Amino acid sequence: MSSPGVDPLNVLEIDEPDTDTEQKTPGLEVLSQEVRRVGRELFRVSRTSERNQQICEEAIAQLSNALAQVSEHSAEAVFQAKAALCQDLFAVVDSLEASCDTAKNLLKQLDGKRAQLDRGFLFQFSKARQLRADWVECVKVMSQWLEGQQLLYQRVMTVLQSAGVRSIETLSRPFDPAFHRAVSTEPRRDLVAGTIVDEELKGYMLDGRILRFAEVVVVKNE
Amino acid sequence: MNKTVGIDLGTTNSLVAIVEQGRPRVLSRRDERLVPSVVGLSEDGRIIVGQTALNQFVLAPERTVRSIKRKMGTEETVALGDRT
Repeated sequence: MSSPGVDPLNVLEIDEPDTDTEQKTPGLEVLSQEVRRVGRELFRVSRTSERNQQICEEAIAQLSNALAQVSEHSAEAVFQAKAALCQDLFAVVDSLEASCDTAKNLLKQLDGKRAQLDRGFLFQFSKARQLRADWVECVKVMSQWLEGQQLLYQRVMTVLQSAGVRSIETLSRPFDPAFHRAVSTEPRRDLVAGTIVDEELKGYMLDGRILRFAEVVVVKNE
Repeated sequence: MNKTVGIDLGTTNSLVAIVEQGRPRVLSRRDERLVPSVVGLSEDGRIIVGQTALNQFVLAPERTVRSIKRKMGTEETVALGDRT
């Protein structure tokens, strides 16, 4: 063990007696060779370590990129799967909307006819009164059916909304080709040109991306 | 790194493909690989292309150009709004 303040490289020379120079020289030579060998080994190990570190860093970067790609691709795959399901459901929603609209119009017409017939001469007779009662019953049943359809429509819309689907706003809004598709124009002096006045087909978005453009009628004054 | 790009400019629709690792891949934009071959000017004067431009065709045909391929190579000047 060397004492404090003594250079460890010179310990051998300090400890060795000056008289034994013939034995010291081969010892130093061996030590020198050993030091050089260790130095070379250290250099080689150091180079290998640097190379391994570089390989590791590249591997980590590649893995990180691959993970990011996998994450991106899986997010896209989830979006595409949701979008495909939503597209299928839009056909159901469209049909429900159409049947509800038809039923509403039909009920309005039936109501109008009943009001006309109430004022007529025929309903003074018992058979006609029975006919009128059947009519009223028919309207009532149809109203209940319409209510069921509307509830079904609301339920499907709730499912779509919980999946992140949003309807595109149209009526009274300015036309924006990023969200709306103009299918027709209409002259309207009371409205600003470019205002949407009717919606032919509902548009939908999912996670900020368009699933279906809203098809609209837009004000255009020549 | 250089990439090989191929463009199919169709009269109605166009698409762009690149070669990646020796394989061709058709690029998609907003999930659509086919882009309508339409260019337009928005109401505020911005250039819009593809489906967005096609969406305004019925409303603003004077600001929208389609089927330009048929006119390529001819002397005809095409107007897009107040630009030619």
